[in-house]
Amino acid sequence: MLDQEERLRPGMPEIKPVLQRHFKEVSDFVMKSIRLGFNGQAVLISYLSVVVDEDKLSRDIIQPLILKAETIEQVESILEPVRLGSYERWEDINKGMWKGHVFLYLDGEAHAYLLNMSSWPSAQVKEPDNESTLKGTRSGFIDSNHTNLALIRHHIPEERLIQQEVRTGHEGKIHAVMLYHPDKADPANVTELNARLRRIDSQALMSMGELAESLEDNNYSMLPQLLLTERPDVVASGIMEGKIAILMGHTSQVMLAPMTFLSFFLSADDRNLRWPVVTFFRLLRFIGLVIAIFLPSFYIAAVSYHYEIIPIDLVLSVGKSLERVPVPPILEALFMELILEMLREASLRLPPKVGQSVGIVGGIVIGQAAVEAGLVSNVMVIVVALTAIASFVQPNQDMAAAVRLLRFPFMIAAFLMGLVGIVIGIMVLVTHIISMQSLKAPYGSPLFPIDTKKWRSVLARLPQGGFRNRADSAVAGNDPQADSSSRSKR
Amino acid sequence: MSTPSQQLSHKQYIFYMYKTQIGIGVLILPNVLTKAAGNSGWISLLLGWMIATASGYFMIQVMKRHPGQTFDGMLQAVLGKWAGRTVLALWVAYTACTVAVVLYTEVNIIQIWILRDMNQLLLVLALLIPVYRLARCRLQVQGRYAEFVYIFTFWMPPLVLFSLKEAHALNLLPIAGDGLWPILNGIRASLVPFLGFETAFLLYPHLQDKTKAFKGVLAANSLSLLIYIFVFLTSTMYFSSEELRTYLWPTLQLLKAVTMPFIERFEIVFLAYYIILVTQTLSAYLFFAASGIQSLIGSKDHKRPVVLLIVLLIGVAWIWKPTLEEMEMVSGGFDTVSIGMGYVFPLLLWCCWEARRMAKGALR
Repeated sequence: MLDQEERLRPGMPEIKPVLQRHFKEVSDFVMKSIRLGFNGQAVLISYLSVVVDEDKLSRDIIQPLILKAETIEQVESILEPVRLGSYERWEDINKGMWKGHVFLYLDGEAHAYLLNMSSWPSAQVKEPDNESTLKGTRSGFIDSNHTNLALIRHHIPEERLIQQEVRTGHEGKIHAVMLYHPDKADPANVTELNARLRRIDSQALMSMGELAESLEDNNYSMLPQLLLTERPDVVASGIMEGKIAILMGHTSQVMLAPMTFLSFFLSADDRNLRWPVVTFFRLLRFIGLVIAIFLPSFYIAAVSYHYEIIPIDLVLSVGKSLERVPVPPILEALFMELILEMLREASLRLPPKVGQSVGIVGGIVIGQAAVEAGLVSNVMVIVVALTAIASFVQPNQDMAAAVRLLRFPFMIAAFLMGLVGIVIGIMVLVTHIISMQSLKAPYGSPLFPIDTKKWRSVLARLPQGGFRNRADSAVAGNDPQADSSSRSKR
Repeated sequence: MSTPSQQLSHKQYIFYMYKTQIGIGVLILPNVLTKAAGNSGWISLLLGWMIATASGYFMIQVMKRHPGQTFDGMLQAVLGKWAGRTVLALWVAYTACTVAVVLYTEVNIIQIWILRDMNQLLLVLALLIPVYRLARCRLQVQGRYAEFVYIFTFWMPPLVLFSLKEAHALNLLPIAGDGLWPILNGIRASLVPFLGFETAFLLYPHLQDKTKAFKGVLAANSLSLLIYIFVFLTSTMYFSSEELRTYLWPTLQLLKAVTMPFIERFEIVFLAYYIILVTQTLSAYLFFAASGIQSLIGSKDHKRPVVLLIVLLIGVAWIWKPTLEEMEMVSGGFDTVSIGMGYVFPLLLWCCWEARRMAKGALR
């Protein structure tokens, strides 16, 4: 094992064995000796080849050193752009090399240099697959903090954004970046999030989901409390609304906090479409939410307890289709819902070409044949299909999954007590939502507690004042150019 | 009592009282009121509203002079330590009994209208789940629940308007045709549905803006008055006073006029949804009782007393399975108690406090 305080001892014969010892079992370890062109001084270059850009190293460092350098000052100027500093402790050197830095030692000197030549493999910036939009931005986050920060900054032309690095986890090995707007974010939330981040004590976090789990307020809740997204426009608008973004270098997800229940029903497209359309879509999502949670349970309650609320014409056809089914509605519903969930999960995991055939098997074979065989009723198939469609309109996948899961308790409640059971379920769910906090903000806001000023922006989207108003405000801000340009547009 | 640091906004305060007032009362009010006052019951309601507001005024007057004090502290300051504690114990008993009466009445109504064959004990257990979840929360969260109830029951009163198709405005005439006596007679019946404003005692120390405390009581009472008068007038116009005397739950009968192409017997859905409202009433009174117990025995928070009360309620439901007739008798008798606690007590308390102050002044 490495001795903590072991120091570099000058001289080529001293250094080579030490390096070889430290990286004995590392297969991509490379060690090269070259000589400076003008005076023949030995230079030792060593690195781990998979995380180092070898072309760049050869082009910018090795070749100039051998061919171009004519004085020691020129050597310095070749190294200067990428040099991180001079090091003497082997521990620092080793850590640096693991991070992708290049070790360089000029024979006879008392210390070695580390050069930044790292190149981590990372994906190209492309449109996120699972959060697609009609008109939103076409770039999504990738597994690199540099790119992700750049993508966010690209959306926010604001020099005051605070970018706070937090080292946490066991021995400070986890590295997160908090990004927020100092005027908009609530300082109480910032301190709270910072404190929670620092309390993490795990060796390594594989994904943003794990980080979210250790930061959220209520671990036992079915509902998502923090937003994970791959879209820079979502993060940027969140930051401008006073939320705090958390980035972690090695995942393509960025987390936003604090979130409210209703904000999971907003989509990135909402800012790009015309307001009547958006308002209509939002309404659709809320109707979808209600259908996805309550339709199967309402159906179960109606056919097992409250026949009298079904209109007489309908009761005849429902009754006819129920007649042939040997199992009680709850079993029928559970069976169909579970099959549906399996289909969904299967088509998600399978390669796309096979996935299509799952749809055919599920849709035709199970749907049609099960009805004809008298295993389930027609109405139940319709109910389940409607529920599925309603749950697919949700823009946020975490919330959609929670909604799909929530309908099972409601179905059981309906089976036990009919409508009364459903209403009791509603009350328990609502009490759960209103008693939760996300950081220091109430999760149920702005509905409960009522904040009518915010309803305008969350429930519907009304016109934002528009171009005329803005042109006038530009005049008030005595900016003659903005004024004239807006006039010329008119 | 719980620490006064928990803050309740003015809106939450109003809705909390308003939705506590609206409970089982609305469902039977037209019937009870018509029996006492005929078709002029709405005048009795107005008088009842005045009395309720006056009573609320006395409450706030006394609470105002003991800033930072909870109900418990105020009682001890006005009445002395032991008398104060005894009165608090009475309040605990009263609020706990209110929970029981409302709960078992609700269970009876559900059994008659929605779930005919359901076991009474099971229903009690099921209805207590949300009450328990809610009453053990912080007061802030309960305030939010009141807001939820307010928003999500907004659609309910207008449904009564469906019945206006077949209403006869002539049923309202003659106004005060039987003289003054029936109207005065109806006051008693119209006092009971306004009960719920006495939670102001409990809420006052937690208010964000205490100067508007009385305005809150006034607003809550007025909102309730609107609903009551609206329901009373519509059902009188729809049924006529003669018919109203025979229907036990005229408000639900009114809803039979609601017809929709996809749902029949709409009153069943309505009544099931109505449980959301009744839960607010139940949890408010349960919280009152639990907070009282908390300061009587000096426990850390109100969660354990809530559990204790819930267990008690289940125990009672285990032993005693009241029928509708029994329940009517019990709640008829209990009305007198609650009028005493809700209307006479604040007045007495205020007199007590005034007398004390005057005595002090005289001594000086």
